[in-house]
Amino acid sequence: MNHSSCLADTVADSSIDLVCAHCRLPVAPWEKIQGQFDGQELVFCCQGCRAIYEFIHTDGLESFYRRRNGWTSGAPVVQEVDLELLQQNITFEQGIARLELSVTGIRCASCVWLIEKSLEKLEGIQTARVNYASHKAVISWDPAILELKDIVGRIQRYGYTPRPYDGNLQEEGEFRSLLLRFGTASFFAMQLMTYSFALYAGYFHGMNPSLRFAMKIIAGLLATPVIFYSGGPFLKGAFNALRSFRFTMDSLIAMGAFSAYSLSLFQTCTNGEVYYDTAVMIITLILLGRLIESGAKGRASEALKQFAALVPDKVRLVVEEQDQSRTVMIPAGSIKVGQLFSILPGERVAIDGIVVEGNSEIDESMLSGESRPVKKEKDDLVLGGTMNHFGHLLVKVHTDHDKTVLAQIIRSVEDAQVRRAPVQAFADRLVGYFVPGVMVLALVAFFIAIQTQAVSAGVIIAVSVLIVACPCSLGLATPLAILVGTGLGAGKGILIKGGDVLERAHNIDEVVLDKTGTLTTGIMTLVDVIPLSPKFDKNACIALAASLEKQSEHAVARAICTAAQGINLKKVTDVAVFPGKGIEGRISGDMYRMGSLRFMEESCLIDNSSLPSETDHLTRVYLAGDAGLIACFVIADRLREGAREMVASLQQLGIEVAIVSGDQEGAVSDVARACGITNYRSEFLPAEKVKFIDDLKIKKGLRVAMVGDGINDAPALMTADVGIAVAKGTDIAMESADIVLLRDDLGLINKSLELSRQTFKTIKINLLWALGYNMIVLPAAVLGFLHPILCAGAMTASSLCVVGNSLWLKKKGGL
Amino acid sequence: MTIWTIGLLIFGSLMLGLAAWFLFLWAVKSGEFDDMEGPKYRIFDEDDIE
Repeated sequence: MNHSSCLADTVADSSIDLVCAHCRLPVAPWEKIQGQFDGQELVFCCQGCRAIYEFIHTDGLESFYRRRNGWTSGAPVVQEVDLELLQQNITFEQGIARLELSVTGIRCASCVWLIEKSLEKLEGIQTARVNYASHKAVISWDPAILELKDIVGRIQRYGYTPRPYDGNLQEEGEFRSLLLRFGTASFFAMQLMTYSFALYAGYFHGMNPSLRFAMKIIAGLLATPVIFYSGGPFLKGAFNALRSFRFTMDSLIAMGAFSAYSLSLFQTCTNGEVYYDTAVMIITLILLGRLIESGAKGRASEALKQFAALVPDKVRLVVEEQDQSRTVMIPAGSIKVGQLFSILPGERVAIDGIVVEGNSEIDESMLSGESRPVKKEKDDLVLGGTMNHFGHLLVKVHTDHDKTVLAQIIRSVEDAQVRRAPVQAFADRLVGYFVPGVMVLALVAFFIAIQTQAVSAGVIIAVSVLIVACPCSLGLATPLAILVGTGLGAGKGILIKGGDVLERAHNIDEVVLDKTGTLTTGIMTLVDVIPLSPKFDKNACIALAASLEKQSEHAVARAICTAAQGINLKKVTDVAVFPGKGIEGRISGDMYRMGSLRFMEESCLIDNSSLPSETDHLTRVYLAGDAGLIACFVIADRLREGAREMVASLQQLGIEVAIVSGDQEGAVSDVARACGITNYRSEFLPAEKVKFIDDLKIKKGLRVAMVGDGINDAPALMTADVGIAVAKGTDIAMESADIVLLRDDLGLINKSLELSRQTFKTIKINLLWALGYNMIVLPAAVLGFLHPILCAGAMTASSLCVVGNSLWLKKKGGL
Repeated sequence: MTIWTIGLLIFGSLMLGLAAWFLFLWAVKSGEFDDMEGPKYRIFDEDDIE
């Protein structure tokens, strides 16, 4: 962790490149705000950051800055808190108040530490614990000393937002109950094994009959809670399924476990052999499988809520009063179509509307995926949730608050989550045939037996068929393979959410790719410099341009400054920024201008004939001095490394590849050509992307994987059979996707498809092993020749095979 | 070894098992297994040194 940035480093850095000591955003030299702390001069980007730094400093929590390794920069978002709602959730116990709340804004373990430590320093706090995984905080305090608003204020001071705890209480309860049931089953199974082993030994060597009877009774007592408490849900599920004449996995489990248990009860009384261990092991192993599965599932709608919270909930309504207009802050939900509101620089747009006055550039990347900020003038449409850069806009509301483009995207993701039918697992289908088959076999065995033996012996034989047919390793077959598969994926940087994903991903026919941020980096980069004046070479052009652009925050400026890293920059004076056009400044006495072609034309510096022709769809900016044009800079969104290879190897596997993008026709066709893709669609809205995928799925019957990164891809990611979110995508895309690539490597797309193929194959073989072993023992049971040792042997052997085969995937899946 | 010795040993082992089970029930109910992610980061807290 050499790059751990101590405070001292930040200060040292600041002489070269000013960075805010709190949020680490770059600071323009004339905008810096200074603060003295412990005799050190620190630089901040805004008063807010300075104030927060001061809070943390005075609380003696500076070590926060040392532990936040790997933080990405970003301005903190502070939101309002509904105190009354929180107040209702407080519970009192022996004079101590206790509150559970969700804290938004937790990104890492440092956040957890900061919140806990800062709360614990408040007088009156008893305990403060924050759950890293669920972002749930449990706080207890003495209400006589401390009030709720102090606690909430404390959390807010650090930029986190407390919300009433709305986490999935049901889900949490389910996990606990599953853990309790599994824990109980395994404790009793361990105890039971002692007696079963003694009984096995007694079977071969003989045993004192009264001791044998006592052991059977103890074994029966130990098995009872496992069957009825741990196995309760299986029994209930099987009963419900039976009422509608269906056979599910539950039926098989319940049938095997319950018949083994009741036969053993009967045998205990009649001095026969008992199979309590079989009954208990079936339930324990299957619960273990469920527990493994539950750990792999992700929470879906959480990010959706967080994203909706990004949109400001207040809006500046413009009120006309006696020829004077002033602004009032009102809740965004109560503004009506046709009313005017204003947007200040740096604010997010609250609601969709048409610009009436002013001009600015707006970053719409979160909605459209387009990386360039979009220029907005009179009569242009601005969208809720997008970020206004530097102009002041007066906007007329155009749609209702709940019908904005953003609201529609959120709704369609929610719809897709609900609509997606639970995938019928492969094992379930198999079970559907298996259960009735076994029942028929048991009946046949019964009728054969009663031809020559007593009816009671027939019953025992029939039941033993049921027991031996219930493969307890069946419950492990799928989860184990998935555990190994997802573990392998995680090691390679592929996060797979749940086993059903692997099932759906193993036979994909078509991969649909998003362009911006997926095939391309989504970041503007300088791709070419064309010197237009013989006096300057490329490096000199870049040095001049970067010196000027250093003063600007524009995406284009950032591209040029990044390209100029390591080049010595010159001092610029008399800087003037023209929003949406360009920038000018004086460098060692000479005036230079940098900006769009229009800016050059307006400055009358241009000689059109000397310009290189523009046949493609790249962004060009020009640098000019007093004597005329000096250079042309070509800036583009670059293709990601490995994009071409990824597409080629998919096509080799016979998988169709297509691009759907929200970007303009020209830009998309350029990328498609570069990657060797013939099928592409441009200027697609999120809803059109969904329709495109739906058409492929329904009309052509293809299995479709969607790869994307933006919020605009989220509905499509949900609709596709498999959604894959690339590294550095938006939170909402990652939540909507089934597979998240953690590393910035497009080759992982192929690897994840290959991995799911391998895993699915392993699941199939596992199921075959699980069922196969029992098939071998079945004839013995039908003939009424069932030794308990045979029963236990088959069980162990099939479980070992399943475990071994799952681990074998690790070797095969080396990819 | 009389049958009573065996009975006593069986009783003892059952009690030990039950005690472990109750301990487990208590741990789950008091939220010991709720956060399986956070604790591994807590070892980096250096409060005792500071």
